[in-house]
Amino acid sequence: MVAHDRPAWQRDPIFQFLASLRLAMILLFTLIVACVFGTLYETDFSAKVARHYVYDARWFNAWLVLLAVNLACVALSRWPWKKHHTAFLIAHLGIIILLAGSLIGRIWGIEGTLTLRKGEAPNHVLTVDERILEITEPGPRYRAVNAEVFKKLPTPEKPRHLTETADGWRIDLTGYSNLVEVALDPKPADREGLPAIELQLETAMMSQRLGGWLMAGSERHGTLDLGLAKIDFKRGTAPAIAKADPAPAGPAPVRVEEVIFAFGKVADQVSRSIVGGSTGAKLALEHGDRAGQGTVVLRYADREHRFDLSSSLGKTLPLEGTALELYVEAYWPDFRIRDGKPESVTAEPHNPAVQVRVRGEAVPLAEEHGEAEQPNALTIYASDSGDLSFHLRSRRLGETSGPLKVGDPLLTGWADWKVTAVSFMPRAMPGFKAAPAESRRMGNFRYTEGIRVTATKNGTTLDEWLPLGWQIGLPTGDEPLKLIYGYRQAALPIALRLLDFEVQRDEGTETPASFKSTIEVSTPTGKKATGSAWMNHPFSFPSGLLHTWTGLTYKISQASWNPDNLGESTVQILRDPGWSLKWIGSLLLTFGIFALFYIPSFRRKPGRKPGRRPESVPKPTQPVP
Amino acid sequence: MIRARSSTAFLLVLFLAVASAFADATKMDFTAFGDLAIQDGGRRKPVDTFAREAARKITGGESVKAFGKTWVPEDFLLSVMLGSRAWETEPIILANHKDLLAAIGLPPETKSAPAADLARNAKLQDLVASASELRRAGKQDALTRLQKEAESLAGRIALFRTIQSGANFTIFPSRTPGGAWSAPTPGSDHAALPLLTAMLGAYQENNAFEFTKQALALRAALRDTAPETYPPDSRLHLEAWYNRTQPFDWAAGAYLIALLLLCAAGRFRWMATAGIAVAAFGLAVHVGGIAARCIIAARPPVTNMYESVVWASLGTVVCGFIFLAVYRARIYLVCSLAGGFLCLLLVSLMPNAMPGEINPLVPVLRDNFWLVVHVLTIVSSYAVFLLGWALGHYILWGYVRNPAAIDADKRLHTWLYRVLQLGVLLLAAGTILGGVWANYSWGRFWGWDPKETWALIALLSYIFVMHGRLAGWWNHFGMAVASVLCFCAVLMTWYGVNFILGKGLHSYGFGIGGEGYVTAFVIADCTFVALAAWRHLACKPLPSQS
Repeated sequence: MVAHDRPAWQRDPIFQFLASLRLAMILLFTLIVACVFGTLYETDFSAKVARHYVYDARWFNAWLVLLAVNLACVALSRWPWKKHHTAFLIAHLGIIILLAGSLIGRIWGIEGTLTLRKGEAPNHVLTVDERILEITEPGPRYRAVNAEVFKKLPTPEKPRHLTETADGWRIDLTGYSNLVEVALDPKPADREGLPAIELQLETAMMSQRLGGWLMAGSERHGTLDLGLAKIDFKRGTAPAIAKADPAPAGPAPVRVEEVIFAFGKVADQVSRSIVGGSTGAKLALEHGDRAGQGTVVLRYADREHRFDLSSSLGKTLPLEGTALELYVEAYWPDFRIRDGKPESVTAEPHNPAVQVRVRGEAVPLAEEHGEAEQPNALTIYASDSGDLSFHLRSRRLGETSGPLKVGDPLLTGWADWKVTAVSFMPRAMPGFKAAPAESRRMGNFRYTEGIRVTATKNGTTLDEWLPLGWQIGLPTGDEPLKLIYGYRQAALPIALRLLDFEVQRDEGTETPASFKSTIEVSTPTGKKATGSAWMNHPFSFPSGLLHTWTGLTYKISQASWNPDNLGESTVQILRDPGWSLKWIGSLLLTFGIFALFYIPSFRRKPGRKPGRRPESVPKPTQPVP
Repeated sequence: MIRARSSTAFLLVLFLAVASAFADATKMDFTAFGDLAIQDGGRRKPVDTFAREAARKITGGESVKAFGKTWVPEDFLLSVMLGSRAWETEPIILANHKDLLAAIGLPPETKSAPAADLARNAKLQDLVASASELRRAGKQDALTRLQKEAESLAGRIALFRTIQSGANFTIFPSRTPGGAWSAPTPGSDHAALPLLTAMLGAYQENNAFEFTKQALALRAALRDTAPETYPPDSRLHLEAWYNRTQPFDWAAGAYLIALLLLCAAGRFRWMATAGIAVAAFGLAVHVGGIAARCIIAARPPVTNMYESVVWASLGTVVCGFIFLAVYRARIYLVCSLAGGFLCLLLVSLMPNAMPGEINPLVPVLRDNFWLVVHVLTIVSSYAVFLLGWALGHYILWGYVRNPAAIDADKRLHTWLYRVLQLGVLLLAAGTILGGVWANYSWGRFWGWDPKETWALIALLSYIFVMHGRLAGWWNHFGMAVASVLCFCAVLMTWYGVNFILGKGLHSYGFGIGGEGYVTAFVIADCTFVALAAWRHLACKPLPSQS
């Protein structure tokens, strides 16, 4: 075929450029490089960043459209088509259809998640994975702007302009942190309200310093749990402690007898109370190199009693300073249970163990503690007249109480922790303050991601951190400007109700093997359907071949679940109108490649080798077999 | 005199040989013990598997060198559990990551360390604590490599401790299907406890006969307590047999021998025939091993790096045989054997990066026909590209030696092109089948997940070079280079996404380790390509190929 035989449009230079193999190569190469960068972005930042900068970016999609145009032109450049063009056409048409399907799905598709709870009313509000700032102006005027933060974090110096309100406030995004600390920040109140105290805790040893507010009589804000100790803030006055009595006020000593067993190699003991209750004594065996050699160590009431193993075996020995005695009952150099009875397998000290009996008079451990030591705890009391007092318990200092003055540090006896009441409000209302933290701290702080929002107008600046899922009011006028930072939500024309949720686990483990949600779907017109969605088995509504094959259906799949609440399940909803085109395109592409390589009559004859030709003539671009 | 001395030496050697043979004769036989069933890691398996996994996880290898001898896994397990040696202070816990060793203050040449030392290491504890702090905060992504390595080391110590305590020796079956099995506890009144005690006693007394007898009796007794849930003997024997025979090592050996025979064959027809026969034997063993694995796991071998490499190795050899049958070119088989052998060597050498354990599937992989089809297709495409890669090397080596002669060998280049064609078809089909699966599992066809994207990148790379060939930009030499370079994209899809990027939805195949080797390999490969290119260009009168 010679160039001038072709129709005029095929000789158009623009068409020839669009149909050129050179363009195809450039497009392919760019796509490869872009995809590589996309995956690297995903690794270094997140899938969201990769999408924003590459896969969902305008230029990338324009590139794909250009690829489709290139493929269409190259197909048209073969016009009129012959039988040997079949494979080539099918493969290239497949890609065009596939790309068209993706574009349709991108524009008209719906994707999001719905969290359902058993027993709740049907839910039709879809949560889309896009963070937004909802702004409600007095009026009320409502709007939502995209507040997604990508690679470059906004700062006060480099803010991201979001929007402007009707009364002239400029709203900017000036910060982002994935570790925003939400702390109690009480505001003084006149009559009603609860006492509030601000505490500061310091330790030089662990170089830690933390603080926060507590409110008396509040279930959520009345306690600060540090792990090693607990601080409570209550109303009233601290109970007085009788200082003369060194032993904590408790029941009188009774007759006790207890058997304690311990290994030499593992710091663990088994104790069984025979009479009275547990003494709380701790037994250890410090074993020597040879059998029978070692020391029996019994710790009781903060004192260590040591006995040589070989000389004390089978003897009753007094525990000095107590009304108890110790009987070293048995010793095994190589302990083993055989036929349900303990015995020593060999005489070598492979697994030494010792058993003792403690008897005499002692105060048994309180049932509810079960441990010898009392927990570290501080309770601060605020009386109605505004006086502060404390009641402190520590393993080192025992139990103390007394008045507490604002500003005076209180030594707790828990390591070197010092507690200071920094300020006190007899009456306060709860309020919250959010601020980014450098790291998670001990105590009951809540952390979430958050943004910093700045509103400016005529030189006035209002600035606030806004945690995800929270609402704040900015005092921009008589009525505050309400801001919510959260996920975009979309109303669905269908509503979902969770009927049941099941978790199956791998045998003998807690590893979930499968989750299954049974869901009832309803429409406003009263149509209802019930189905189950579990891993790899989505549930489609409306069902039926036609809907499934066209993609004009809501596909409900199991997305995630809440290990703490088995009545809760999150499902993913997907509607993809481009679905069928994607399938048709994929099938055509695969078949086209197969035909190109393996069906001789569908492809150009092998004899004609493509090579470099004059620039103006579009070359046939079939692969040689 | 000299003669006398040498005969003394001879006698001494003979004596030692007899002594060691004697020692062998009294060596414990752990077969019956290994055939006991245990519930571990979400499935029921023979104790043999449990012992091997424990030994491998703790020490990095199945046989443990300690106290001047080599311990078989079962012996190691029993000895640690019973505390019959001072394992606490024996350096057996695998700790060889250089950065971690530096961070916790151990000498850099350390290979393994005693549990007692590691447990006391405050720096290690701090690292693990900081890692678990991050995990609690839900920020697993922020974990550094060092923290991950510290965590896996802590995991090894914890496993060692659990074995010492006997808490995971869950051999007492539960009657309810899916119920948790229990470990023997002192003082329990379980009917089989006396037999267990007797078996352990026989072990400690080194009484091989009694040990086997009691182990067999124990298995029968345990089965009696829960006949419904105790695995049948055939299953236990099959898995223990699979563990002991290591069929993939046999296959690797056969491939190597076949490869050597074929390479040395030259004009000797019988040698070539023998090579093909040995390769066929290796292939049969390979298929048998995969079949056994399928039966044991009750699923196709498609879920982790180990299985995919073993499958790709099989695919390469099968593909070599097919091309051999179609084109009568022995070079196909030679290259496929080299590729298949390398794969099997790799899994055998890196048991920790690619553990061959059989574990229950993560939920997303269960019960899915499309997953099987997708993974098998895509891994087969890797296999074909691996063959292309090996053939590419052969051709490039030709360019290094005699560029003009190899460039003139049109047939060889066509053969390579045939391989790449098949690879492209399989990769395209596999990627699209991945879309079918993703559509079932995640509800969407394509989501730019790193694994998906890299499969696309690999596909586009091969398509790119094929179109470049059409455009006449490159031909013979270019395709050979491409078959080697584009394989880097396949490697990235196959290994890199899971081990280097470590992000995305294909997280069930993730792991760590081996980056250094892979990077070195890729660099070496590129150097080789550069060498071939230099030789090719140096011998070319004209810059253009046309």
